[in-house]
Order: sequence, then structure tokens, then C-alpha cells
Amino acid sequence: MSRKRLISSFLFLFSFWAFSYGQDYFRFRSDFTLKEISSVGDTTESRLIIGSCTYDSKINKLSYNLTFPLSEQWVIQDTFVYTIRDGKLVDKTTAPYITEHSIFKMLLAQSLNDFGLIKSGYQIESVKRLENEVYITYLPPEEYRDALGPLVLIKEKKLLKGVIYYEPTGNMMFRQQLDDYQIVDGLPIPGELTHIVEKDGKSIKRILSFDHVVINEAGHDKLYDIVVPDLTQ
Amino acid sequence: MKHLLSLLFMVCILATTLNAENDKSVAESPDQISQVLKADKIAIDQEFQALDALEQRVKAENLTYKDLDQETVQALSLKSDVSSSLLAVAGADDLPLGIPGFWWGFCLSWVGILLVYLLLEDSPDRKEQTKKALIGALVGLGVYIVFWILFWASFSVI
Repeated sequence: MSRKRLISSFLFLFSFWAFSYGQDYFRFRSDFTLKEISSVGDTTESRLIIGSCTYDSKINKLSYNLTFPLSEQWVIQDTFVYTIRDGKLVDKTTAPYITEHSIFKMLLAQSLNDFGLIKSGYQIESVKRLENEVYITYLPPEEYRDALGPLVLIKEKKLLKGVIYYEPTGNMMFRQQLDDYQIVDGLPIPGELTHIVEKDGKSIKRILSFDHVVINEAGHDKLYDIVVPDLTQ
Repeated sequence: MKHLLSLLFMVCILATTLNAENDKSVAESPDQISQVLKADKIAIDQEFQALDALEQRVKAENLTYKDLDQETVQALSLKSDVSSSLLAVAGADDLPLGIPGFWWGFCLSWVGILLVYLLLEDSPDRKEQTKKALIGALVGLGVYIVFWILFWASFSVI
């Protein structure tokens, strides 16, 4: 093998390795705003949450740094939620696991494209087109079809634009729209997610917006791995 | 033996019927879905106008909940508890280990029902999941009984 060919092969392999390595997304940081209106019967409540968030998938740690309604930090790791105010731990509660369906996990794992459905055992039932959009209907695994209904994903130019979830009875229970995509370091990030849940006379409408998104930030480890102070401090 | 075969045949027919019903999708057509989503956008834009205005004000003036006057809080029915909203965004699943209540009951019987009841917070969802766990436990018991009847029936036939 000539030296030129050897160098070419080496460069090819190196670029392939670098490309593969570059696709490993594990950190997410962004400013966010969450607006929510929920209603049960005649009672309506609204919530406004403003702050920034960091998520590191390698340590599965999610932190919210809120400025509104209160200036405080929320750190979620394993099954614990820590609330920190003025540098002091003011509350520690248990919470369910951050699942595979967390928006942060899905954005980084790039599984937002199929909403992580294939991994969950869902199967494609049909693919239909309407103008520029593609509607893909998924059915849950057979053993869960009494409890879970079909899911429809709407894609435009390979980007996920909407998610519709039906109950087995045919009630459209959950719908989500994803808009204002931006590409950050090769990763498509929706700037706004709107979702509506309606069930048994209750409804939750939520708008989540991301701004100033940073992906795979090097250094600044303290931002992602916030040290939780001791409860007694 | 003849009765046993008849019973198995009936079970197979029932299972096939149930499967056929489950295979039928209840999803609507793209046209219908598109119309619903367009209507959602318009409704949400209107419904969130007041919250949008508050967001702009809070960001511009660097306010916290305590800085807001009572009139604003009441007009919007604005709440300061954010736990459920933040956890929902985090994707924290409301189901114990993400497994539906039915399967807890089906696999672990009364222990599964108890676990579902204890692991979920007091909410309508807990009641619903516990009920599903109870149904799961009863179905599991039914399957267990049918299995043993068939098992002993096959012995007596032999």
C-alpha cells in the first residue's frame, strides 16, 4: 500500500470516528418559559414559570434555575427532587424517575423524531401524506392495546411537528405541536412546544419555550452537576 | 377429552375476536387532525394572551410572584406551586416504574395492588390505577384457575 493511500485511509477512518463521536449529545442548557392553564370543571388555574435549565444525560441530572415565581433551584436526580433557596436545601421529596420520554432525554438522544416509540415496542400501522406533512399512525404492542391507544406523529421535512395520542376508546386525549425549530450543533431543537391534555372533564394546556440553547457545553461542570447542600446546613 | 378440546377451541375464538377488535385503529384522518390542531393554535393564542403579557412584564421588570399585586394574581388565578408542572416537563412518569396498574395487579396480585396504592400520590390517577391493579389481579386469578382446571382435566383424561 502506498503511503498516500495509507494516509487517505487513516484520514477517512479518523473523520468517521470524529463524526460518530460528534453525534454523542449529552448536555442541554437553555433559558425556558413554561405557561400553563389547567381546568377542572369551572375551576381554572394558571402558572407561569421562568428560568433556565440544565440536563446532563450521563449523570441523568436535571436542574431548573427559576427566577419566577420564586428565585430557587430545583435539582432532579434518581427519584429525588431537591429544592434549594438562597444556597440552602429547603425541601427534599421523592419523585418518579425521569423516564425515556423526558423532553430533554429525547432531544439529546434524537429520538424525538419517532418520539421513542419504536424503542417502546410500538408498530407503524399507516403512513399518510397531507400537503408537506406526513402522518404516521403507530399502534401499541398487542398486549397493551386494552390500556393504550394509537399515536399519530406528524412530520414535516423529517422534523417532528405534532403528536396525537388517542385512548383505546377513540378519545383524542393528548396533542402536542412543536414549532420554531433551530439547529444547534447539528441537533434540531423546537423553540416552542404546545401541548393539550383533555380527560374526564379536566384539561391542561401548556406552552414550553426554549431560548439560548447550548448543546454539549464543555466545562462548566458545576452548572450541570449542582452540588446539593445538606438539609441541616 | 372432547369437552377439553371444545373449551380450548372457544378460548381460541375469544382470543382471536379480541385481537381483531384491538387491531382496529381509532385514529382519525390527517384532514381531521389538521383541523383540530389549527383550531388549537387559535384557541391557545387567545387563551394565553394574559399570561403572555404577564411574562413580558415579569421579564422586563425582573419580578417574582411576591411582587405581583393581588388583583393580577386573582384575575389570572395564578398559582405559585410549580412542582407538578416541572415534573411533567421532566418526563417523570406518574406510573410506578412506568408500568400500568393492570400489570402490577396481574403479576403480583394483592401485593401489586398495594404497591400501586402506596407508590402513587393521592390523586384521581391513584384511584384509577389501583382499580386497574384490582382488575389485573382478578384477571390473573382467573387465568390461574383456568390453567389449573385445564391442567388437572388433562391429567384425568390421560
